[in-house]
Amino acid sequence: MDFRFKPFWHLLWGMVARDLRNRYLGSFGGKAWNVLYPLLTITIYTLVFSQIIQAKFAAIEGSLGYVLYLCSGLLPWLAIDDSLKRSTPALVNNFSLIQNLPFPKEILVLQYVVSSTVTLLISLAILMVLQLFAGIPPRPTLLLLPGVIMVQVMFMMGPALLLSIMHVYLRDTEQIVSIVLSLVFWLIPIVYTPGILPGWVGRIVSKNPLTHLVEIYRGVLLPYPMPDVISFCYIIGVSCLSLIGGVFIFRRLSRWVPDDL
Amino acid sequence: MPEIAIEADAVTKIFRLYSRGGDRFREVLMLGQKQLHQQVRALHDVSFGVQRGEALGIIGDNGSGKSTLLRVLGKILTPTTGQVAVHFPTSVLIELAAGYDIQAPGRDNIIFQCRLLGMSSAEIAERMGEIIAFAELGPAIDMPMKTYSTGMRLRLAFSVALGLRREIMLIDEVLAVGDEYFQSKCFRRIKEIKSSNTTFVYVSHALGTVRSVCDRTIWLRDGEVAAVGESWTVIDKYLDYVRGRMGIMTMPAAPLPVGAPDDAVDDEEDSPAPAGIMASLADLAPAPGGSAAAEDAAADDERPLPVVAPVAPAAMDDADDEDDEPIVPVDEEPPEAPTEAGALPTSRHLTDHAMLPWARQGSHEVEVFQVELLDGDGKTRKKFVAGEALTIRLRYMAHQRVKRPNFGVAIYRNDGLLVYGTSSQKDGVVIEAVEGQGVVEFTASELVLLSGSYEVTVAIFDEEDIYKYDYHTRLYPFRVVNTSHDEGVARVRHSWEQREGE
Repeated sequence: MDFRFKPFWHLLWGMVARDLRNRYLGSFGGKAWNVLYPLLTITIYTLVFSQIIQAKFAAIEGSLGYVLYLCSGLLPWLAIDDSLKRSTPALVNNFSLIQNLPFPKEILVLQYVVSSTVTLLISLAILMVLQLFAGIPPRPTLLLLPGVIMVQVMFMMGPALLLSIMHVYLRDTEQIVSIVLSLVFWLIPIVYTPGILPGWVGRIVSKNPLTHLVEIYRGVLLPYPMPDVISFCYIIGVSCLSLIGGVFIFRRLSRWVPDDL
Repeated sequence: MPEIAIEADAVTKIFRLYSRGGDRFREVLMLGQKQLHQQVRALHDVSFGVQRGEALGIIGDNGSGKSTLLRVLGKILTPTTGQVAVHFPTSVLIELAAGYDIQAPGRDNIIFQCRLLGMSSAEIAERMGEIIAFAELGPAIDMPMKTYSTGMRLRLAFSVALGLRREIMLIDEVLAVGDEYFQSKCFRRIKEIKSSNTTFVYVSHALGTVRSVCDRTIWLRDGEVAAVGESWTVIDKYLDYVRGRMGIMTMPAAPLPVGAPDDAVDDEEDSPAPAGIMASLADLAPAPGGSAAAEDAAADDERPLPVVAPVAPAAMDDADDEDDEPIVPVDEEPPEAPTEAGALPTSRHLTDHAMLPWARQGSHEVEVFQVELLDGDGKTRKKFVAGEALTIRLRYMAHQRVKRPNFGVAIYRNDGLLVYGTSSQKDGVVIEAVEGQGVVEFTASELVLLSGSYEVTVAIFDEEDIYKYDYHTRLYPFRVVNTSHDEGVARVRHSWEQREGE
């Protein structure tokens, strides 16, 4: 593939804008749903865990302690979940584009990764407002947040690219992805704390790169112990590998995709 | 020295066809032990080059690989084997639906489409006005595209493709949807852009358009290059082939002549017919050279000669030959001599291809049984030089007395353009009555046609010009070569003069 990718950055932004506009197209709320949806999700968790189930949470003080803990892990996860579920059928659904126009097909997948990330940014902004309500002021570690989000984007790109190709050849992929993701959710300390799982499950969870990612989010956003340098190196390494490997394999395989759609 | 814009070297494209969705994966699981797919060969060993600033047409039947070739050139598909080198930035327009969001207004879609084609925002801003102006959609440009007709979508898509300044443009079929006005506007623009050294590759069924826009043309047949060269030569060959096939389509209704089939099979190898489609024809019909058996069989029979071999496909092979043999392979014996005692000549004496049912109409109280094209010396010819004399000689047979017949002659160019048509009545020539056989001659003292392939239609109408006694649709081909360099359909008599000081 001998595309100069540069002119197609504009295409990527165009696609993301179109996706954000069209995702809730025809609904009464329209574009507002991009904000409303995360806002309502967070509100519900807040109500449940601060008013109905008044869980005492040791790690972070205050009645909103657990909600903040939960959301700081859940929101990045939702971005991963959403981007992988939507990018898996990306090539199959856009077959008419692929068969009629020469452009880097990666963009079709990337748009969902980027669009999920935009939603993540909105959700995190809402979370920070909630933090202010809980009496926790923004911390200097917040400066690391853009870097952390970038690492997450790199991490998502590998599986997103590979799954989209796999779905061309095995149309069961979409279903498999959805089930595997609901399993992976429980292998990340999002609703529970990292230490509580015993034995081999605990070992899997502590090796899961996403565990490290989620813990870094918490360290950056909350008064929560920042993971050590090894943790940072681990997740950055895995993300780089995911990005480079994903792009490399995608470029090798994707030129046969128009034949097989 | 001309620059090469596109090179295709032995391009072959094979698609794998799986009958069931899961088969592809099953095949992978079996590690190549078993093959579950069918191979479909869309392109086979296609090689050609396109020079910068040249326009190349691609023609051929549906499914002959035209669009696949265009996709390979556009780097959308990767060839299975062979190489494609495209040396300049390219814009592609293959399908209208591709990449349009029907909910969004036309303007947004233009922007998005420009982005898909790799334009930067600055470039889009620069071209936007021009694109919108060219599309001439008026206020509809700000309405959702779902309200657009196909023609309006075409206007938008084509305006984008033409607005995008790329050195190479690959365009499929799509233009056919546009209205007359927009089409001609597009072709004007294409010619304009062409003169600025842009290379075009244009796939179309509109042969007239290909002829006028494209310098050279490739004819694809079953994924292979059947002919490549100057547009009018290739289009002629293609049209000959199409006519041949139309003949075959209508033939099976006729029964096989008794006793002929064995000979016919033997003739297969000797026949001048091209492979493939003509091989199956040879099963049906004796080749022109070996039709004696069929002739005998038919003579014993009440029915008219049932099966004939069209000459058109055979003519494809010798389309460029230089000889002056008669265009009508008539029987050796002169038609004046009755075949049997008292028997009148009938349509069986017509040229073989004239028997094709689609080509002949009429009630045949009086019929044309032979048509010859003659030069000034009375020799039959099928190739004329522009400016020569041409005589079209019709031999007719009136099976009963027919009053005031009206003989008509028309000349078509082989893309269907009626170049000239007239009749004896229109010219004020009154033929009181005909009975028995005779000859009518139409003579043009000077052939004003220019280079190209033409076909003659002959007809006999009644006095009112309504009732058809006989009608032979474009059955008699001839070619004109032009020794001077003037262009167009016909030569206008003219002179030049220059005066100074007026």
